[in-house]
Amino acid sequence: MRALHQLVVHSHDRKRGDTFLMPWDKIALALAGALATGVLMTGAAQAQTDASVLAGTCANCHGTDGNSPGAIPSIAGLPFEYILEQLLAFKADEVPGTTIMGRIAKGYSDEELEALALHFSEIEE
Amino acid sequence: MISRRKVIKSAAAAFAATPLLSMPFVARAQTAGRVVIVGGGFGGATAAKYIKRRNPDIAVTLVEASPRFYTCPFSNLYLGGLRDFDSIGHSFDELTDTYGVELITEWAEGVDGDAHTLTLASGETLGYDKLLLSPGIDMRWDGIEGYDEAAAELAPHAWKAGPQTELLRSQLEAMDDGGLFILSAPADPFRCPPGPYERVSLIANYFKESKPSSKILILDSKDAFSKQGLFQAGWQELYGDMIEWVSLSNDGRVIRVDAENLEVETEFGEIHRADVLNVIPPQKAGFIAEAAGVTNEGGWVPINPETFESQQVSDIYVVGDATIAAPMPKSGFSANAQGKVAASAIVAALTGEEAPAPSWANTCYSLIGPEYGISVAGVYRVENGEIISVEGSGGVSPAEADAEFRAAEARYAVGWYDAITQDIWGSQPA
Repeated sequence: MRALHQLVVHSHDRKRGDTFLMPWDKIALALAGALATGVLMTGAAQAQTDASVLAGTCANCHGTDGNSPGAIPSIAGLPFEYILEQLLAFKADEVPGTTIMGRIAKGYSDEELEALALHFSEIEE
Repeated sequence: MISRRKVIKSAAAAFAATPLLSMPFVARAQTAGRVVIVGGGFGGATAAKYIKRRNPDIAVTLVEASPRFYTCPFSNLYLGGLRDFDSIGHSFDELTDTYGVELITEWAEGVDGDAHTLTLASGETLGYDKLLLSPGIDMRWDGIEGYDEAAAELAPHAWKAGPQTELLRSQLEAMDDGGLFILSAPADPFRCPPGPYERVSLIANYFKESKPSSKILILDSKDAFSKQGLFQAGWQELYGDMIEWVSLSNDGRVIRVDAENLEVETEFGEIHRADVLNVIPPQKAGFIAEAAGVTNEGGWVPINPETFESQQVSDIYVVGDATIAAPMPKSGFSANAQGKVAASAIVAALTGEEAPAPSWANTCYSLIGPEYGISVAGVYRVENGEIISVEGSGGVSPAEADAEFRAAEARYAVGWYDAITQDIWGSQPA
């Protein structure tokens, strides 16, 4: 979970400001724990991973900000839990009929998939 | 299309009319920095949009010679008669109108890396804080004896989408049933590794429907190619023995072209005569990269993988087919992904921040038939200063898959094109 905190905090600082209040709600307990143990400070010092950079290549198939114009599903604004569950299932080869997402999801850590799910859940459709 | 002078003039007029409103904008634009981008294709247009999305106060100028950009991806569908040419052309309207990118429709001619200036064909010079080149490829006209620009008017390469692509299509249409189409494929590295093999697939699909006695011969300068097993199985399944592939080891390398007579000669002296001849010659980074002094002795551009800044000239970033970015392939998808990473690095540098960690993916779909798609994917990171393919990720479509799976990948291939052209140029599906 530590990597996720770094990602979340970083995104918050750089990009989206207060619009992050909603998802923060969802992980408020985890964040409270992180604050208590000082993980956030470590995170700020190592703020290298940027969820919007990770998400950049998703747009190549799912459209800018995950709003797809064509046959590939849109992912913008879907619930955080749903996106994360799907990504983890792709990674584990547990989605029947998958063509390519299994091969792609395996390239990301679980923490990165969480950051991506958070990123796309926050975008308006 | 808005010329640069008009833009400047209208900005000046606005400044004069409403100084209180305009002044803070001008001041802000000056402090945020100026980026000049050469090339409005998959890398350059992406970088322009994503720099503006990250920081609208950075002044971005895009220099592109064509008022409309035609994509190599999906040009094979046009060659196979599955799309019209217009559907692979894209305008820069979203970049100029929505994102405020300044567009200059001109060739870039020279770069002075010390002075931080770019010279245009008109002689005008543009100053920059950061220059991003997305120059694509140029043909090596000295790569195959007899194959020069004049020869390409008879035996097109069609490896840059445009008049060459239309020429090849018109030749295929004019060819009689029972004719021979020959494609000469280059050695690695070259633009779009699966491209030649998708091309013959969709031309075979056209022949099968319109000229079923015709044959296709691929003369290859290498012994293996991208998604080879999948292509060859698909060819057999859809087109029987219409397509023959001759590898390097079986004397596939073309060393001489006689374009007047549509003849090619291979390494060991065999002469093949075509009815339609498509020569894809060896390639190098596009001209402006060489002019900027960012290419190496091999003609390609070494970059710092963290940012895609040139290893040879500072403040010049290079993305796309021109770069040495293996294991990432020279693909439009890669160029787009690299353009986004370079955009975030440039924005960070202009605001005095450290560039965020890069991350790229690539997916290359190929159509073997209109309802038969295959793919190769990869996810990439930087490790110990080098781009690596993330272990356990990526790979090609399964060898054993049913027709439904192949049809799904064919639909996703079109979905991919619709999405990436929207992501880059704001285009709507054809």
